[in-house]
Amino acid sequence: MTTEGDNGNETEGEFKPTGTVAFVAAFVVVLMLMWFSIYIILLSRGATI
Amino acid sequence: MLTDTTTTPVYELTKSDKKFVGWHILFAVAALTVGALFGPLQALQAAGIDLYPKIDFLFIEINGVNSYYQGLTLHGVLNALIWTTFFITGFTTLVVIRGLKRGLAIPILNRIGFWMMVAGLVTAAIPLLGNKASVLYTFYPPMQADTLFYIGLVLVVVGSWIEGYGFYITLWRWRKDNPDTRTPFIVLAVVINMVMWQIATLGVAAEILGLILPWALGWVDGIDPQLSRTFFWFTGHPLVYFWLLPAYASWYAMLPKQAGGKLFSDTLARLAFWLFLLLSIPLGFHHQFVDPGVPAGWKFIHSLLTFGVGFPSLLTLFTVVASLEYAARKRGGKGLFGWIRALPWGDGSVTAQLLAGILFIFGGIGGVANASYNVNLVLHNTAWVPGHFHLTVASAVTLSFFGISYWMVPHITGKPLWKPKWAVASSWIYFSGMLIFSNAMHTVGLLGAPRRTPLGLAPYVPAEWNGHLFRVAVGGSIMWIGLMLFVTIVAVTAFQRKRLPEGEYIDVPVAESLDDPQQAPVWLDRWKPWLIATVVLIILAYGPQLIDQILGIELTSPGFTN
Repeated sequence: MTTEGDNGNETEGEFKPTGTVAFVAAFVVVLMLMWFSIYIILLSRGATI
Repeated sequence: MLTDTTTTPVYELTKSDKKFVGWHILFAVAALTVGALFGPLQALQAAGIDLYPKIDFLFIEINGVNSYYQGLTLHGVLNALIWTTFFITGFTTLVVIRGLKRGLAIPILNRIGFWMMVAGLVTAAIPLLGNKASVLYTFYPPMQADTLFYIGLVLVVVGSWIEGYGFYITLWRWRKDNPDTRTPFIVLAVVINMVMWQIATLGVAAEILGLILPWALGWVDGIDPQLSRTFFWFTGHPLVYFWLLPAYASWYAMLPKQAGGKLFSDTLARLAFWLFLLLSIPLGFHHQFVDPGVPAGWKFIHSLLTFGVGFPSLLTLFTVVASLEYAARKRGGKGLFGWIRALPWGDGSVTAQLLAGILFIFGGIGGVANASYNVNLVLHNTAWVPGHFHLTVASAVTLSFFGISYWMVPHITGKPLWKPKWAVASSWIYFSGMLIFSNAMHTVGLLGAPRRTPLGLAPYVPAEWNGHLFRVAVGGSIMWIGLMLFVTIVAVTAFQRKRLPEGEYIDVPVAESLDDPQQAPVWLDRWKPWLIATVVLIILAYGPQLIDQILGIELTSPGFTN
């Protein structure tokens, strides 16, 4: 069960990365907000055809 | 952890191997130190404070604006190309030996590769310092440098290839001896990076050997800048991954151990690295969105492929953060985000890498904007781009390499880290400077400030840029202080007389995994399908355009020199 040597932590099977899921979700939300803020700058400078 | 010592190392490198790794780090840090000198000079110049005339004794030739571009070229070449390549090949040497628990198969091969890189550095440095190669680190034709500059770059790249061959043969022999064992993830990761580098650098090899050198030597009168740029960016974007993947390898497979935890998923980690091999290369046109010679359809395809590489990036974010969360909760961390406080922030090596990761979150967000075919037009060729670039190579990579150095230099020298608390401080200082600098660069870029321009001399700078340019100067100067503190710490550590107590040893941190590597699917430990898929995807994404551009080649542009 290891990369090297032996492991044996009894809590490993119970570990649920809830904080990580929240962290990644927050990342995606911030990413979308920042992307759209630049998109609005693009639109504010006028569309080209 | 950094401060942990052991009396029974898992596998100890020979003195010769440690010395060899040490040579890499010596040249890397020397290049970083010289190149970084120009960082605050660029930043202060942007705010109208021109210190170049004060240091003209350092240059053989210096005059006015040329000094800005000479400084910018030295900064880019030494920090983005030399510091990284020397550090990465040294780090890879250590990881391969330690990960496989055996010496290099043909050590002389790696020695030849390394000293060829050194010869290349010296060869390129001559015209660089003489202001005969002030063409910036991208060396776009028709700007033309002295021939020695290009020859030097070729030697550095070929030297790194030869070191790569040494790693492949070592891994190949290990696999022959261990046919039923999964390759240790950390070795797989750094060797995938070397393979990706070797495929990617075929672009710049074709550019220099096929187009630039015949032109620089006067064998042909002109060059095709469009084809040159296409070849350059074949290499240029995966170059960023060449820098990043060793940092990722540390985040995945070393940082969890340093933080007191384990790698969350060995399988996910392997998958992410194979996907980086597959997707890092066929996306260079997203750097050429405003190049008139590349059809819009191909730019769009490369834009989509760039979003494809976002997938292994997100896998990396999830797996690394989950590994850290596991470690933090083992250390008593609580809450949805409160566990972050439980990480070992007092360890300089860990702190540097955590701060690198935090800065890279913003780098990743900016990268999505860069890759977008539409919004890229807002930021293309503006100060946003070097702002983003500093969040990748100068933050995620460089700050991670600080962290790695804080255990690696004690490991290879057998000497304790000098002033461990200063190591923590160096990273926080650098991080603070980068926050100020990169935020200002992104903001002033969105306002339209061009990149690669001595704005301190520009008559058109509007008042609304001034505050941001001042922050560029402040942030850049703070970063330099943090960097010099890092250089001082590793230099004193390496050259001090004090040694670790007899029998004590600082081991290479290699994390165990929560899942069993032996249970990873076989296809995640096989090279052939991934290499074939990588080549096929490159042919599909680049082939038609390369054929079109090569058939339509126009060697009409003369060289421009300063």
